[in-house]
Amino acid sequence: MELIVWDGEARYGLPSMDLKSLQMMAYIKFSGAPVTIIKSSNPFRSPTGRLPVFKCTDGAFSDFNQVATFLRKQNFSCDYELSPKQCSEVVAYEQLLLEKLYPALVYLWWVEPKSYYDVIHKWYFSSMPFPHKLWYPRKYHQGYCDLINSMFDDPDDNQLVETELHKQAQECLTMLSNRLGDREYFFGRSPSTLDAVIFSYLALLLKVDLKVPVLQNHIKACPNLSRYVSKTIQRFFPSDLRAEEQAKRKAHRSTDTRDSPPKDDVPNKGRNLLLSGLVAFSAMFGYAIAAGLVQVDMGEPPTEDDYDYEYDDYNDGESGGS
Amino acid sequence: MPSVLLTDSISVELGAQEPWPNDVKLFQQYEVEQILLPDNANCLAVQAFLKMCQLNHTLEMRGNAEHMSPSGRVPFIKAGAFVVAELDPIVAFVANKGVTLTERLDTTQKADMRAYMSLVSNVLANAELYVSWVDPATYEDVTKPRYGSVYPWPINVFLTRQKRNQVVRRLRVLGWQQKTLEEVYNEVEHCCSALSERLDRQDFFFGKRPTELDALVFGHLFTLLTTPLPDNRLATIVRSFSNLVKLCQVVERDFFEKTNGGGSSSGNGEGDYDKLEDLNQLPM
Amino acid sequence: MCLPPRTFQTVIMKIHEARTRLSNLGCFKDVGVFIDTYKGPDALEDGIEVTFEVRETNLLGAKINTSVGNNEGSVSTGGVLRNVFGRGEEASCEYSHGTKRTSSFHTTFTKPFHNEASTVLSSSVYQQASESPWSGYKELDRGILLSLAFNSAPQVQQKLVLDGVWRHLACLSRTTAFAVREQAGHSLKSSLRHELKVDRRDDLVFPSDGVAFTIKNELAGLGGDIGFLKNELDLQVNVPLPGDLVIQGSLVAGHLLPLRNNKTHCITDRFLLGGPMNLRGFEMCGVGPHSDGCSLGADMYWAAALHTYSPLPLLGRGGSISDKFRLHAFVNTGNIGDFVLTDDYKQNLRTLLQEVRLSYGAGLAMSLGGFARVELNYCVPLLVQRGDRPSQGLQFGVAASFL
Repeated sequence: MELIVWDGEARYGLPSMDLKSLQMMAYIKFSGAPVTIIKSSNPFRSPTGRLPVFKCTDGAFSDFNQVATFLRKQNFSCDYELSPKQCSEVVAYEQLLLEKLYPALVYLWWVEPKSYYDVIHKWYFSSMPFPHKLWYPRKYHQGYCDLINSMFDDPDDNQLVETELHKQAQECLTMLSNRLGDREYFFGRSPSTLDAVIFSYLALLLKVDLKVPVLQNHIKACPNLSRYVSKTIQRFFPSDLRAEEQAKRKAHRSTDTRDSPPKDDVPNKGRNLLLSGLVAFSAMFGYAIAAGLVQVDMGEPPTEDDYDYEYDDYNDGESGGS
Repeated sequence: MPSVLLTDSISVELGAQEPWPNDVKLFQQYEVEQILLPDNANCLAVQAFLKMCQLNHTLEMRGNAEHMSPSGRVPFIKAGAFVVAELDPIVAFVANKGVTLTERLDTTQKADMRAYMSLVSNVLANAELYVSWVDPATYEDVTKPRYGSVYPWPINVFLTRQKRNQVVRRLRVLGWQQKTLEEVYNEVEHCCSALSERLDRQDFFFGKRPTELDALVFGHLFTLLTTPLPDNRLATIVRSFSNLVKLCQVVERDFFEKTNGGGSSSGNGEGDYDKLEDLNQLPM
Repeated sequence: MCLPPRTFQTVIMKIHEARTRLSNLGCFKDVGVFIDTYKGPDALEDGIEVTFEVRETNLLGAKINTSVGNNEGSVSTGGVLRNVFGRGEEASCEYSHGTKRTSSFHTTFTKPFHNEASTVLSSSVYQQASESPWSGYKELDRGILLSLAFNSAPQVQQKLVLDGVWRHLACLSRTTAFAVREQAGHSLKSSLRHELKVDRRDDLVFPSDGVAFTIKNELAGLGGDIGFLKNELDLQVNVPLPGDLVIQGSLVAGHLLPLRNNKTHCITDRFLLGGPMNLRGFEMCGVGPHSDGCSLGADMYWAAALHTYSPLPLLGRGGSISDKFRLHAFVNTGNIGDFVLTDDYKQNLRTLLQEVRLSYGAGLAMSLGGFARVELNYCVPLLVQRGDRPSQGLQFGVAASFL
C-alpha cells in the first residue's frame, strides 16, 4: 500500500501543503498502518488525476472516507475506543468543519489575492515541474473561486465575503477549543479519525504565514489548539519537525552574517541585469539594420561623383559634375 | 478567548431593545401547489423552532416569497421593522431578544449541537436539492410543475430552467452533482444513522427539552416522511430509524396540533400536515 | 417622365421636396441634383432634365450617440444594417448605458412604408435594466415589441404598439420598504398601447405659440399575469405676449384601472409624481404615498403648471446662443392618490382637489439639442402633504418631456 501526497514545506514544518494529503497522512500515522508515504508535486501521473492518491489492492482512492473504510477493513483503525455515539460525533464534526472552516481555509489560500499570489501560487509554481506548473495552480484557483462565489449572492463584495467567512471560522475554532478543553485528543488519550481531520485544518491554518493572519492569530490565542498541533507533529511527524528546525537555523544564520539589507533570492542580480540589457540592445540594433532603419556603410567614403549622381535625377538640365 | 468579528452588530443591538412584536409573520411559498422539498423542510424547521420558543407568529403564503426574501431563500420572518431569513439568523435574532433554547447546555454540548446542525444542513439539505433538481424523474414529475405553477407561460419555463441551472451549479461546486442517486441515498442513510445514534432513547437530542437541533431535524425528516415523491426511498430510509420517527411524532404532537393552548397559532390557509399516523397509507 | 408645363419655381420646389424625401430614407449619403435643358427626341419647349445623383450608404454602419432621458443622460453605441432589402429597411443593434446605472440592449428591425402617412413598422427585441432609487427597487425587462407609427393627418402622429415583456423586480438594498419588497419577483405583461400626438407648436423646447396634446392608452392583460387599463393625457397651450414673453399652461393627468379578473399590477405600472421636470419643488417622485422613505406610486394623478418665459435680458432674441436660453417663472400644482371616483362630478372635483400640492419658483432653462431641456430653478413648495419629500431651494433637471 502506498500513499502519494503533495510535498510539504520545511520552512513551515508541514508534512504536506495540502489539506486532504495531511488528513490521510495523519490517519495512517495514527492507525499505524504500514503504508509507504511518497511525496510528489505532480498530480498528472496520479491514476485519479488528483493528489493525494492511495494505491492499494482495491484500486486507487483519492477520497478520505474511502481510504479510511479500506484501512478499517484491513483492521487498521484509530477508532477502536470510540462508542457508536462518539462515531456519530465524528461524522457530525467533519460536517461542521466542512461548513464553517473549509470555506475560510479555501478562501484564504486560493481566493484572497494577496495570499494566493504571494504565498500559495508561488509555492505551487516553484515546486511543480514544467509544464504542469502553468496549468494546475490556475485550475485549482478557478475551482475554488467558483466555490466561494456559489456561497454568496454578491461575491464581488470582498469585504462582506471576508468578514462572513472569518466570523464563521472563528466561531468554529472557538467551539473546537472549547470541545478539546484540557484533553490530549478529542476522544481521550489516543487520536481518532476526528483528530486526523481537525489536525489537518489546524496545521495548515497555524503553520503557513499568510498575508491575512486573522485565523492564524486566533489559533495562537487558543493555547490548547496550538499545543495540540505541535504535539501531534512532534509525536507523529518528527522528521518534519527536524526539517523545520534546520530550516529555521539556516535562515537565522544567513541573516546574522549579512550586514546589508536582505536581498532578493536572485544572486548576481547586477550581472544578469547587464547581460539582459546587452542582449536587448543587440537584438534591437540587429533589427534596425535588417529593416533598413539604420544603414551601416561598410564601403569607401563616397566620392564626389557619387554625390552628383543623386543630383542628376532632379536637375534635368545639369550634367554630371560639380 | 478571542472575540468573534461583529457583523450586523448595530442592527442586532437595535433589535434587542424591542420585545417580540405581536404581528410577526413567517413567509413561505404556497404549501399545496408550489413549495418544494428543500424549502418545505426549512420552513417547517423555522416554524417548529418558533413554536418551541413559544413565540407568536402567523403564516403568510406568497407566490414570490423566494424573491421577497433578503437572502433569496425561504423562510423569512418580518418582526416589526426587521426582515430576517433562514434558520441560523432567526435563531440569532431571537437569542438577541433573550429567548434561547440552549441556556442549560454547556459549551461542549453547544459545540456538539452546532456540529449536528451542520451535518443536517450539509447532507440532508443537499440530498433534498439533489433529488428535487438533479434526479430526472422527480424533476419532471414534481419540481417542474410545482415551481412554475404561479407564473404564466412562458416565463414559468424560463424561471424553472434558470433555477435548475443555479442549483446544479451549486451542487457541482459542492461535489454533489457528480454523485449517483444511490450514493445520495447512502449519504442520507449514513446521516440518519449518526443522528439516530446520538438521539439514542432520549426524547430530544439534549435531554427533556427541545433545542433548535430538534427543530431542524424535525423539519427535514418530517418533510422526507410526508412528501410524496416518485421514488419513496428517502421516506423508507428515514422510517427505518424508529427513534427519529418517534422524535417527529413527539414534536408534531407537542407543538403542531391545532390546540388552543400554548403560543402556537395557525395562519391563513395553513396546509394540513399529513399526520404521521397516516403514513401507512403512503406507498412503501 | 414628362410633367405638364409649370413655372420654374414650382419645379424647383418639387425637386427640393423629392430631394428631402430621398435624404430622409436614410439609405443615401448625398443627393445631388443636376438640372439641364432637355434636348431629347420628345423634348418640349423649355423642357428640362433633372438628374438625381445619389450615393448609397454602406450596408453596414456603426453609430454612437448620446441621448437624454428622465434626469439622466446616456450613451449608446451600436451597429446598423441600412437598406437591407432595398426599400429603406434598417436593422440595428444597440447597447446603451446611462448615468443612473440603467443599461439596455435593443435589436430592432424597421420598415418604412413610403406612403402619404409615412407609416413605419418596427419590431424589436430588447433587454433593459433600470433602477428606481426613490422606490428602492431595480427592474430588468426583457421583451418583444411590435409598433406601427403613422401620421393620420399633418402634425398628427399615431402609434400602435404591441408589447410583451418579462419583468423582474428586485429590491435595491436591505432597507427597502416592505411594501415594495412584497412586489419583488417576476411578472409577464403583454399589452396593446395606442398613442395619439398632435403638436401644433412652433418649437419643441421653447414654443412661443401653439397647442400640443398627447393621449396615451394602454391595455394590459392580453396574456401574462398583469392586467390594467391606463390612460394618460398631456396638454400644453402657449400664448405669446408682446415683448417676447410667452405664457404656457400645461396639464397632465393619468388614470389606472385594474381589471376585474385574477390579474394584478405592481409598483412599476403605477404613476409617480414629483421631480425637477415634473412637479418642481419636490424630490424625484417625492409626492404621493410613501412607506419607509420609498415612494409607492398611485393609480391616479393630475398635475398642472403655469410658466412665463422670457428671453435673457440684455441679449434679446438675437444670436443663436441666447436663443437657447430662457428665464422662466412658474407655478406648479398637482395631486396623486388612489382616488375613488363616483358619478357625482362635484364630489369627484372635491376628491381631486383635496390635499393638493402647490409650489412656485423661477429659474433658467436651456435647450439641449433642440429636443430636451436643462433647467436650474429655485423652487419654494407651498402646499405639502404628509409623507411627501419636498425640496426647497435650487433644483437641477434634464428631461425630454417636461411639465
